[in-house]
Amino acid sequence: MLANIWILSEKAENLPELCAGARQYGQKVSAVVIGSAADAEQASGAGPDQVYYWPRGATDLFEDFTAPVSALLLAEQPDALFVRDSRRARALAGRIAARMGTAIMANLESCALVEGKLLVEALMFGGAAVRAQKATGLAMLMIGGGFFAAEAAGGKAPVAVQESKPVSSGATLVERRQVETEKVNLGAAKQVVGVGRGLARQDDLALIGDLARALGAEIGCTRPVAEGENWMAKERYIGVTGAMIKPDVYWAFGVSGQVQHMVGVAGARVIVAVNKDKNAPIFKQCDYGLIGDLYKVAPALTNILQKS
Amino acid sequence: MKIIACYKIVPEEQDFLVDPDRGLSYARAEWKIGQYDLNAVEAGAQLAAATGGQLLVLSVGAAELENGKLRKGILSRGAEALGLVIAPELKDADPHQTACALAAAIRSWQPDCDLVLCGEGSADVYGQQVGQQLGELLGLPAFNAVSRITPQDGRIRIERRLEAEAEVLDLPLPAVLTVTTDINRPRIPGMKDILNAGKKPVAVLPLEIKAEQTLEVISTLAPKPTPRQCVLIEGDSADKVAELVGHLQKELGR
Repeated sequence: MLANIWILSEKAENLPELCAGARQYGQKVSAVVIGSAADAEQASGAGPDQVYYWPRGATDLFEDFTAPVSALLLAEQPDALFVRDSRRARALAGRIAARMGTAIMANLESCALVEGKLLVEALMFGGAAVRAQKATGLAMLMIGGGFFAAEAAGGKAPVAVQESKPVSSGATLVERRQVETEKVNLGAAKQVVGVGRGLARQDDLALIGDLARALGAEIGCTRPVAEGENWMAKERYIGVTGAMIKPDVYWAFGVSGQVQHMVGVAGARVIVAVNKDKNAPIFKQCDYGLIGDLYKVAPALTNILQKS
Repeated sequence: MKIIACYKIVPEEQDFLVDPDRGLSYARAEWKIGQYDLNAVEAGAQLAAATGGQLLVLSVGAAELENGKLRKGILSRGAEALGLVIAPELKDADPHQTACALAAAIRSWQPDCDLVLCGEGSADVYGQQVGQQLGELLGLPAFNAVSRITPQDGRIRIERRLEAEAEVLDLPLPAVLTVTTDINRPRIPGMKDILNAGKKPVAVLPLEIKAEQTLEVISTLAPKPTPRQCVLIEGDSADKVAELVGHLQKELGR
């Protein structure tokens, strides 16, 4: 086992997952909290042995805690730092990694303790390769939601309030506002209908919507549909850099089968593909493939499902 | 405003050769500019045009950076000049080594630059950290997830798109920013842009790279394939669709 693993999350609610994960490899788990007293309290009950708490004022930037957190890392010398993935956490972790002289390992496929070191498998090239690697110094891991499962924790860990202050990089906050995001939980869906570039127009999504309703399915898409075309919310794209899903059935409509997308559906029990191009790579990566026009197949399928 | 956009070239993953033991070879692969880096270059070109400034592009890596087509490719996107650090030690550099090499290059090549732009992540590792590490190494403010950049008198205003909120910050210059993929739509260079690109200066920087490897690579393999049945039905008539449904009902046991 490693002697000491630190965990850090922008949101304290995600600490139980990180803590349960860190317990698998570390004898002692210490949580870093940059936030409110309520966050520190929540962290204390999440299962760690120790909480390092930096109070964060309303205009303090999360990223400006680079110096104090790094200083304590240097003093305490933990073996690893597990960071829950979020954009702010990535920003802070990147700066910390520079100070610690290490690189963050992200897009994790697996993690194991081998000969006293964390052996991390990470996806590369959008899923076309898997790299096994070890850190030579501090092991920093970027952990996505659901990578570890939370476990029930008892007791309260002591909270050490830190006196060290954030150091401003010169950036000043002008405004923060909530933005509307689509609440989709592709990860939990039993059936998912995915849309690729084979769909000609955004209006044609109605066909897919009808089918998804008949199936009781969530709708997802490939990255170009969400980002190039902006036909769907970013929350809906499936792949290494988006949602990684494991439904009972994944229905791929007009999806060519590029690895960046397919790696995101590798956990599906059954993959069904509909594509009019019989040479599309997806036909080598599906359980059932229908070579035909999705504009005919989707309504026909909806029709059959509505009758049954 | 003097702007530097950083980019990385990577082998085309569609050209990878995979042997039966999942071993990977890039030997036949064409190299390409990382797709997310194109957003950084485009953002730089637009800012340079808006401020009457100049855009420079910078990359660090191994001998693949000698590729003339890729040099023209990057210079055809609104940049005036290209800086390169080419060293065998930078082959498969980890993100910390990459950031150290970029920092050294900027210090020696363009110490007076106002703004450094990076893409969301590289097209190979996609660790989403080099911009942040670079900012820290240069002692400059650094922010990721930047979806809008507005130049102001001697400062810039940025908008960041976080998970469920937007954040607007004012920054002093110089600064290092990592842009999102939806900040712009990268241009497609025309024939004239590509021809002109061949006349632009390329500086190969004589730098000694000292950064030690921080990640020890044990193996890089093709992913384990998931076995699939590949039952194909040809045709889109109602009968064929019913046949598909029949297969699924059997498979799912209902």
